[in-house]
Amino acid sequence: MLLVVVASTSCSRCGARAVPDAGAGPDRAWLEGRPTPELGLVSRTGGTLTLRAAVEPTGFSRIDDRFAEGTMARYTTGTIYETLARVDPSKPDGALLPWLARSWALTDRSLTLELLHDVGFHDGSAFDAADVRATVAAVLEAKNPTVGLRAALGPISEVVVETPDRVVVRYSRGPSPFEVRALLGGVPAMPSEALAGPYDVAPIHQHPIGTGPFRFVRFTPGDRLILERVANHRAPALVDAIHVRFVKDDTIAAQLWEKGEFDLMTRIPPAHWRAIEHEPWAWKNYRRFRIDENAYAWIGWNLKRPVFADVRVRRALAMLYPAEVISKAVELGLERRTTCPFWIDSDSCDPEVRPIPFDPARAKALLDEAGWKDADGDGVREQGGVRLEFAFLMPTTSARLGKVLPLFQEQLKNAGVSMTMEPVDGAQLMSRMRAHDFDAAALSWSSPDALSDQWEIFHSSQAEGGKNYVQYAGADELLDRIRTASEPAERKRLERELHRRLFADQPYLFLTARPALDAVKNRVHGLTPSLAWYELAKGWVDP
Amino acid sequence: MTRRLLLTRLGWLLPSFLVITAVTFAVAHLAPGDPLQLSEDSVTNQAVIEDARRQLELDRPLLHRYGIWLGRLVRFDLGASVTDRRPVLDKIGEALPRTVVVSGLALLLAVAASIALGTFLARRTDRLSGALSASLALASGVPSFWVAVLLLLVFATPRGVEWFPLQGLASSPEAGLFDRLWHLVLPVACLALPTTAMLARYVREGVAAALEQDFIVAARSRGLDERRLLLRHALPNALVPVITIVGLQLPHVFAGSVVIERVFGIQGMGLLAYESIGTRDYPVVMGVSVVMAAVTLGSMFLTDLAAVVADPRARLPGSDR
Repeated sequence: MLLVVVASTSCSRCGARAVPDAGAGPDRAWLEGRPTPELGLVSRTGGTLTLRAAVEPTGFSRIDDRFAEGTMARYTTGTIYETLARVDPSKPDGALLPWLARSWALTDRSLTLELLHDVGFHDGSAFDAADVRATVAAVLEAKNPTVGLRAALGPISEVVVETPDRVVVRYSRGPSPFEVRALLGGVPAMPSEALAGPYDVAPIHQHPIGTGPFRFVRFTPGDRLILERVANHRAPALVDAIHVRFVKDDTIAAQLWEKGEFDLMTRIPPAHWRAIEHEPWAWKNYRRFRIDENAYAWIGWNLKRPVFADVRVRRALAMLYPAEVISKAVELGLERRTTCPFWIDSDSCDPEVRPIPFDPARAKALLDEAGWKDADGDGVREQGGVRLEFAFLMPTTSARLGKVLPLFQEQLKNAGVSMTMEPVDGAQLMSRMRAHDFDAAALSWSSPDALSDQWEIFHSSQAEGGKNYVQYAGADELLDRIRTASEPAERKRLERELHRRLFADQPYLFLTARPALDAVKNRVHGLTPSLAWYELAKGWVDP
Repeated sequence: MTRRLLLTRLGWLLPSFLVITAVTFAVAHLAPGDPLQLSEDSVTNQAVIEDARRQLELDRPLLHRYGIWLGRLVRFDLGASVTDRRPVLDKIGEALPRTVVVSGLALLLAVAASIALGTFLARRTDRLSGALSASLALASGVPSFWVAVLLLLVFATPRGVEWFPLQGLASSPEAGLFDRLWHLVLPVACLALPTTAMLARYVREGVAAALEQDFIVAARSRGLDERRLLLRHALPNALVPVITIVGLQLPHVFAGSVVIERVFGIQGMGLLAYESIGTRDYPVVMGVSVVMAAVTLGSMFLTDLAAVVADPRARLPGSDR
C-alpha cells in the first residue's frame, strides 16, 4: 500500500501512462490494479467527468447523521465543500494540510484558527469566522441529528469569533488529537445564513452551498448529481462539470461501463474485476486501481452470551474459519487478511501479530479444554446444560455472507458447534445489533482517514448508544490513553498495544481489509487514488 | 337497478379506502425494524433516536398515529419522508409521472396489439396461428426480469446490437423528445409483453365465440361483408371482458413494476414503494398506499361504469347487472 501511495503521488505531478500495445495483452499494472506514472502530459481545462455511484444520497449536508454515508461524502468533500484542513494524500496518517484555515495553534484548552481571506460561498456570500461558528454550533446543537460528528468533536465549550479571519475554539478539557482532527478535517464550511432557522428542513440539506471548486447544479433522484466548475475559485478545477450517475445495479453498471459511459467506474464487484482482466475493451481503454482503503470486515461475538464468554471458545471459532477457502472462492484473492482495527498499512498495527491459522484439530482440543464436550452424542458440544450453538444475524441482501457462512457453518458443525443463519432485512439488522439482540453478526468498519479512534467501537461506555455492539470491556484504560496521547509516536505505541489486546481477547474475528476496485478511462488524467479517494478537482480529460 | 348498483358501489369507496389504509398503516408500523437505525453511519445516540422518535410521533399509540395521519390526509398533507425530510407529495410527484408514462404507454400498446393479434388469431386455424398462440402462452409465463435482461443484452449492450440505451428515461436532463422516446422503447416493450399475451387470448376467445353467435350468422346471411361484421359486431361484443381486465390493470399503471424500474433505472412508483418499505419510511409508504388505494378503487368503479356503457344489455330495464 505504501508503494502504491508513493507511486501515485509521484504520478500526480507527471503525466500519462504508455498507450497499451493492442497485440500485447494486459500489463502487470493492469492485472494488479496498480497506478502507473503518467508522463509528459500537459493538463487542459474543459469537458465533463462522469462517475458511477452505486449509492444514492438522501441529502448533502455533510454534518448530518442521515446524510453521513461515506460514499457521498467523497463526492461532495473537495468538490462542493471544503474543510478547515485536509488529509495529505501522500501521507494519509500524517499531519493535515491547511485548506480554509491558513494555520492553527493549539494551546491547553483552545484552538486558534487563522482563516483564508477572500473566500466566497457559491451563493455569493463571503466565508468568514462567523460561518465556522455557525457550522460548529449546528453540529453541537443537541436537538440536531449530528451525533456522529458531535461525538467526534469532543467537549467544545464555545466558539469565539475574534475577527472575521480568526476564530477560537475553546474546550472544557484539553482536546485529543482525534478531536482536533475531526474539527479541522471533518467540519465543512457552510454559510451561517443557510443554517439559520429550523435545522431539520433547511434547504441546504438538499441544495448544498459550499466554498469548493464545484457548485451544486442539480440532483435528479435515480439519475445523476451534476456539479459545475466555479470559474473564479482560488484553486479552480480543470473539468467544466462532474456528473455522478447513480446506477445501483452492478450488472447494469458493468454494461454501461463496457459501453464507455463512465470515465471513472467505481465499486467493481470482485467477480467482474476478475472476469474482465483479459477483455481487450477493458485493458485497452481503462486503467484499474485496486486501492487498500481503511476498511475491514469482522465477525462480532456478543460477549454477554454464555457461549462466547470464554476467550478459548472465541479463539477456537477463529481456528474454524476457513479463511483460505473463502479467499479463493469468495474474495477471489483480492482481499488481505487482517487482525487489526487500524488501517492495514499503518504503523498502528503490530506486524508481529499474525492471523490465527485454520486448524480444526487445535480448535477441537481448545473447546475440550474449555469444557465444551459432546457428552450426549448429538453432534453438538455442551457445558452445564448449555449447548454450543448460536444464531448468525445476517442481512438478507448480503450475497457475500450467503457464500461465506455455509462454508464456516460446515467447519463449525464438524467441530460440534451448531450455527444457524438468521437473515433479516436492513431495517432490522442495525436496530437489533444496537439492542445487542444477536449472538453473532458481521459488519465492516471504514474511515476515509488513516487515523481512526477506536474508542466508540471498543470502549465499554459505548455499549449502550455507541458502536460497541459486542459489549467488549477489556481495553477501556488503554482506549482512554490513546485518546489523550498528544505525541504521534506515543499514540502509535499505544495503538499497537490495543491491536495486541484485541487480538488476544478476540471480541471480533477480524477478517479482511477490503480494497476499492475502480477503473479510470485512459482519456482521464490526474486522478490519483488515495485513502481520501480521488481529488476530482485535479482530474482532467482529453478532448 | 344499474343506477342503484353504481350508487351502492360508490358508497362503498370511502369505507374500502379507510380499511385499506388502516391495514397498510398497521402492517407498516408493526413490521420489525426502525427507520432511525438503518446503518452503522446513521444516528447512534439513543437520546437522539428517542428525540427523533418523539418528533416523528413514533412514540404514540398506533391508533392515535393513524388518527393524526388521517387528519393530515384530509388537508392533502402526506407529511415528510423520514429519510430525507422532503415532502411525500414532492417525492410522489416526481415518481408518478415516470411510472404513468412508461406503464400507460405499455398498457396502450398492449391493448392495441392484443386486439389486433386476438382478432387475427380468432379467424385463423393454420400453423402460423398455432405458433403465435403458443408464443403468447409462453410470453405470459416468462418472468419479466428475464425478458428485461434479455432485451437489454440483445438490444442495448456491446454484446448485442446496441440500438437502445441501457438506463433511465433520457440521456441527459436536457435531452429532446426523440431521445426520451427512444429510452422508453425497451421498458415499454417489456411491460407490454405479458399484458399483450394475456389480453390477446381473451380477445381471441371472445371474437371466436362472437363469430358463432346467431346474430352474426344472421348478419352474414344478409350479406354483410366480413370486415364490417368483425369490426362492428363481433369485436365490440368480445371487448366487454377485455375492458374489465384493462380496468383491473389500471392500478399497475400507477404502481409501476419494481423489477422493470430497477433493471431499466427508472425512479418510479415501484422503486419508491420498494425502497421506502426497505427503509421503513412510513410517511412515504402511506403516501404510495393512498395513491394506490385511490387508483384501485377508482379504476374498479370506472370499470363497472365502462362495462355498463359497453354492454347494452346492462342498460335494459330490469337488468340486474
